[in-house]
Amino acid sequence: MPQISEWGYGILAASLVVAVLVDGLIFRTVLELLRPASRWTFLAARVGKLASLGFWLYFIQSFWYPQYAADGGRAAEALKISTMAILGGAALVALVSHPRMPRPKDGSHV
Amino acid sequence: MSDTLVVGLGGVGVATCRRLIERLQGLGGRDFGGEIDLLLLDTDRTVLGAEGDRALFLTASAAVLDAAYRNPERFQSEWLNPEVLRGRRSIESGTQCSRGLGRFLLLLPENRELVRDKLASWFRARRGSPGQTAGCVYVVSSCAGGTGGGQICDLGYLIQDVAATCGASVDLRALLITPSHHRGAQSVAAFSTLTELHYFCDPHTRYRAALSSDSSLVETRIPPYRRILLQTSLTTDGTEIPLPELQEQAGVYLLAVTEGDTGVWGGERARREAETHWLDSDANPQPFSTMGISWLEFPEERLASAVYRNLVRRSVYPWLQGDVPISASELTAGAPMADSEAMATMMVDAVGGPQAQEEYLRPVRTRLPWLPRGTAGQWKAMDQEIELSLRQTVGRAPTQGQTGQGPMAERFDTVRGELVAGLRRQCEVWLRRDGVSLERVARVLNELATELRTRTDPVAAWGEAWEASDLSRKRILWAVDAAGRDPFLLFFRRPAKRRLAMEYERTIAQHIRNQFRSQSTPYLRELRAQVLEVVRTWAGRIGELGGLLARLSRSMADYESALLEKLRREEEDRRLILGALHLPGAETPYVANSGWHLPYCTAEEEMPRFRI
Repeated sequence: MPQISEWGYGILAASLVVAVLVDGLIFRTVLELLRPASRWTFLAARVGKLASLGFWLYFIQSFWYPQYAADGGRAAEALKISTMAILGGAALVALVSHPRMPRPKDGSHV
Repeated sequence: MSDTLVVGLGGVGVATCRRLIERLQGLGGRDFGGEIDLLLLDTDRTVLGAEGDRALFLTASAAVLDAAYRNPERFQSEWLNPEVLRGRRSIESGTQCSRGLGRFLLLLPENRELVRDKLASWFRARRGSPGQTAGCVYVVSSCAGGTGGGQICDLGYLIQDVAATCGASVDLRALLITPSHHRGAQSVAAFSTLTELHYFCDPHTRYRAALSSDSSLVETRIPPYRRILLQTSLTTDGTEIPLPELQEQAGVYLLAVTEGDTGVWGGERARREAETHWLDSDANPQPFSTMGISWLEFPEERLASAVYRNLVRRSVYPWLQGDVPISASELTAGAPMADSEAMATMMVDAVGGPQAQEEYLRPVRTRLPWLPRGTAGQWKAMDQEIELSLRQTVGRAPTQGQTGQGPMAERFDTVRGELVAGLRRQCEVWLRRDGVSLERVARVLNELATELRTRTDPVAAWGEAWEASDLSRKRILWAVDAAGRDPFLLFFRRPAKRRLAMEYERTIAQHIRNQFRSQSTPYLRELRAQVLEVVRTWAGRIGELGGLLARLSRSMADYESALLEKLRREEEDRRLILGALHLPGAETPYVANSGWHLPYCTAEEEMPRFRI
């Protein structure tokens, strides 16, 4: 297990904050671009969350891990696979949990 | 013996008779149907002068007046204020405007018998004349004097009683010269006289006086005169006519109705008088007429009637033959009946327009600051509040055989009134415009009726718009509910709800408009049906009027021609005094103004007209 410096933990924490900021930025931008809000809010939220997660994982994989926590080629390869798995899982959860407006009981189209 | 007796009563009556005599003398040598018999009655010896047998001087000695003052029941004069007789000497120079004294003098047995004898001799002489019918007696007098005003009523009943005693029928008429109301004492006396006459003209009142030769009481409910002609002394513009001129007019009037009439006027007057009831609908006696009306009756009224008919006929030419085009677009300029959207706006403007929308949106506007933090339940409560107020405003829509209820139904009545008033205004503009024919107006109205009948509102489109906005509203409420549970909105629930609140505000405004517009369709249908009914009725009536005028125009022209031809014949026979009358308006020489007063011609102008 590699020794991670205090600077490394600081960078990691800062990256989380930046990820949240990126999430908010993307969420608001998508909401601005897509109207009405009632139709696209949940999609915008998912796009923001997934994008920020993607950016954060990419940051971890390409910068933070090699810089502060690298311990060899196998670990880096495993990280790449787990990144894809996390992203795919998150996308799957986002898709499954996306709220859908129930059909009216009288059977009319919604 | 003439069939007409003119009784000049009092100073004014005697003076009028003198005018009549002068005119008769001016016509001397002409071939009259007969002479006019005259009887002059007055209480002033100087007024009567040397009139001979036809004058009767009604007087009383100082002893008689004193006896009547002390013992009124002997003269049956209890009705008289004793102060009138107190200290009087013999009456030689009139009654000095004392109506009571005037009446007393007529009812004095000696005077009464004198008058009765004169009248009886005239009636008996007439009865002896072969071929004579009912005699006509004119009593001409001022209604303001003591003699004329005081005796006019009793003299009327006295003449009737004498005629009845002689077994003669009489057409009794009075011609009263009425002073201006500016003349204080005279106008008071005139008012008393007219009130008295009016009172006894009412069949519900009873007249009682000792008129018989044996001083027994005469009781009757009939009026004192068949007709009472008031010659007013003011023109329609308030100018006072001098007394001599009034007397001149009265003299010529008497001349015209007696010697100037061959029976045509009498027939026409009888017809017109037969149309007048003794009492009107308010039970007021109606034997009164005015000089102006009687003067105009014949032949001028016929001429005026013909001329006015002619003017009416000419004035309807544009209605019958006008060629100015009009279009239905003018009709609907102020009333957009063909534009469904504009009609819907009119309907919902008051209940769902921009002003009213502020009221409906108040629940949203007041909640906006905290709505992003509110729960889904609070959003639903707000939405239900808006929905309830909308439902209350819409009320119950009109259905078959059932009227609507609620503010929108009230608005419906207002809009209907506005639309009908707008159409009526435009129709009036057309009918007033020169050259627009009635047939064209009726046709355009029919075109509008056809358009209204075939016009359909975009009910489906409006319904879809309403459903879409309703769906949007429901989606927002659902989104608010879902946003509270969605993990992907972590950190950003409030901004998302703020966005949803803004969208809800926009959507609900649109939804209100759509709902009102959609709900207005039954009202619009009903509105068109009701306006259509009105427009059809107008079109039918205007069309019928046009057809009627077209048919009448010919008959009116024929009638005018007949009238004018008749007048022309009478003019050729020199029977009309029409040409001597200065009718106002040189450009339309035979059209009188709206007042009845016609400027009177001078004697010099008039005399040639009587060259019979």
